[in-house]
Amino acid sequence: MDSKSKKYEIIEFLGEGQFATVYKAKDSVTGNIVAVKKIKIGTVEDAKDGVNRTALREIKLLIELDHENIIALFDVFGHLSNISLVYDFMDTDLEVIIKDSSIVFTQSHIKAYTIMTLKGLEYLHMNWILHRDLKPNNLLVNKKGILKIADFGLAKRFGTPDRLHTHRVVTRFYRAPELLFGARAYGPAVDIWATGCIVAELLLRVPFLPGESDLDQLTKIFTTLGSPNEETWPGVAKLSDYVVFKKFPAIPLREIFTAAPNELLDVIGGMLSVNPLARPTCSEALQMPYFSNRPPPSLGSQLPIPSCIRDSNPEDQDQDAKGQKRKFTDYSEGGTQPKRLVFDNFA
Amino acid sequence: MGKKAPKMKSITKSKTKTHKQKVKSHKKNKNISKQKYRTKQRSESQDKLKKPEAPLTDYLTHKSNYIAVRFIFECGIKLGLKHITICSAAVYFHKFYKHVDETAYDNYSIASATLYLASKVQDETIRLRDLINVCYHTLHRDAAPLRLAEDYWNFRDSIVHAEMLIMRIVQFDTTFDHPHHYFLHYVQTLRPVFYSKHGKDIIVFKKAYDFLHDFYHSSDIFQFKAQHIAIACIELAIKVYGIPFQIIDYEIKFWYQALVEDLDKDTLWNVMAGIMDTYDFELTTN
Repeated sequence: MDSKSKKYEIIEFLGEGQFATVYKAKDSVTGNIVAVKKIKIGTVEDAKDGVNRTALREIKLLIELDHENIIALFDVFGHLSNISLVYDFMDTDLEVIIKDSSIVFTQSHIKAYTIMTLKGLEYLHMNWILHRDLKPNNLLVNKKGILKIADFGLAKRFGTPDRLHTHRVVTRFYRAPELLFGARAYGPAVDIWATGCIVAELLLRVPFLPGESDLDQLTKIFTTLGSPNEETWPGVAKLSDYVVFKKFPAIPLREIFTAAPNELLDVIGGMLSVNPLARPTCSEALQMPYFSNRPPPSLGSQLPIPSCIRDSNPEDQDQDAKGQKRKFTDYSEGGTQPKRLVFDNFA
Repeated sequence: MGKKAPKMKSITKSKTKTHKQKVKSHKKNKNISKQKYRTKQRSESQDKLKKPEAPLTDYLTHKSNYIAVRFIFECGIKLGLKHITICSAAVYFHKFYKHVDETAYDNYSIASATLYLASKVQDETIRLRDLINVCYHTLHRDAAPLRLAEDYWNFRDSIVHAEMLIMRIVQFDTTFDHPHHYFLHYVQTLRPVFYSKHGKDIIVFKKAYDFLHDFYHSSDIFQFKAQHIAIACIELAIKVYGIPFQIIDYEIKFWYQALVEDLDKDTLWNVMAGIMDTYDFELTTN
């Protein structure tokens, strides 16, 4: 195992999330640039509970997956009571691209991102895996313009009818109404809803339904898309956390997304059906006319690159690092300066 | 094996229901005899829960991997874990000892840790405290539960460390293709055929399921394909109960080749021999 941690030379610190710190590293054998995610041992309680569940879930699922639009897990190694996961190195994520005001999206760009997301998701669903945490932040993009779905910490297998899931999943802005109503037997439609929100966000450049609380999230959903009743969503009143809402009419999507072509509105409208059963599956969505009509999706090389990466010169490591750091400190929750990885002292 | 009783009980629960409905619609006489049989079964298994007929295994006097897997099964059933979770634990245990010398680590610490790991992998969370209490009680049957003192914390630490060690030894690969998935499908396919010709279908499949779980006691489980193991368990049960030829006509085509194409007679016999070899371990350890 010692040889493995030496195998990766840490180049720089990339970011810090709730559960892990991420480093950019170089595989000293192949020379590839990879991302090393070191799972944190947060509290003493965590350490006492042994191997981190999130990491375990991620390893268990990713080990079996292989798709262009899914992040690849190259390696896992353990050191003391720490686990580190080694992934594809990805330059940025969709959230950075959306928030970068210097980038102008064309229809082709949006189509390309949507297709890549749906293809990755289709593969996941075909393998009976729910992602349960889709958001722009978890859709990573590399310099070649390839989008990959990442962060499988909440992912779970589905399909066993008697196996219930928790409804406390998915970042609130992207959480489907059935989850907010406390549904415990749900399916791939929750991921479709999140994808619909992401596509809408690509058009608007701000989160489509930014609820401040769970109740506010439902209000935002229903004031925009119309409130459900037993006719539009049979069985909705039986959900455990169901609350009756005032009748809201749906705002026509055309008024919200003024610049979008009609076919795209069909896609968004389908994915954001309040009734989960009315949402298309990934495969059905990909068959919708929007994806085969003109204009064709952009090739990877034509997709926009955020300024923080574009500006940096690959040979100038310092500048590159600065750009990366700015990017990650903007979006990560923890602002503390993390410890540097020291691998030499246990050789 | 005493620990088998609760296992049988839980698998038959759902099946007997559908069975009951079927029987009712068919024949009334049979219904009665079946009912009798079932109640007998149930009370038997309840008795076993209270006072097993088979003597309780004194784990501390035996040290072998076979006995340690039995320990995994006993603790897993006491903890109310799903069978697939318990079987995963057994798989991690065998994988671990494939790479590690048998005497290097304490069997039972590793066994406890595999249960903990399996429960995490299968999203069936158990509390470490519960696991420790169950494992401790199974090892020391007359002792009082561990107090929250040094011994307890040591036990806890050793499980957590062993868990990490297992992860590293199995190279973080926690996936395993369990024969259960195939087994259930095969049984579902076979049951109507069996039932129409032979009344004793449930007992045959139950026995097959027992063979399957007993086979987890042997590390030979890695040597065969999951589909083949599933078929071999069913075939072995059919042979044990001597299901007559008019039900399964081997002359025309081997029945299992309709389910698994790449299974020939020799392979099947090899797997069946492997399953039967598992029972030799029991002789040597007792």
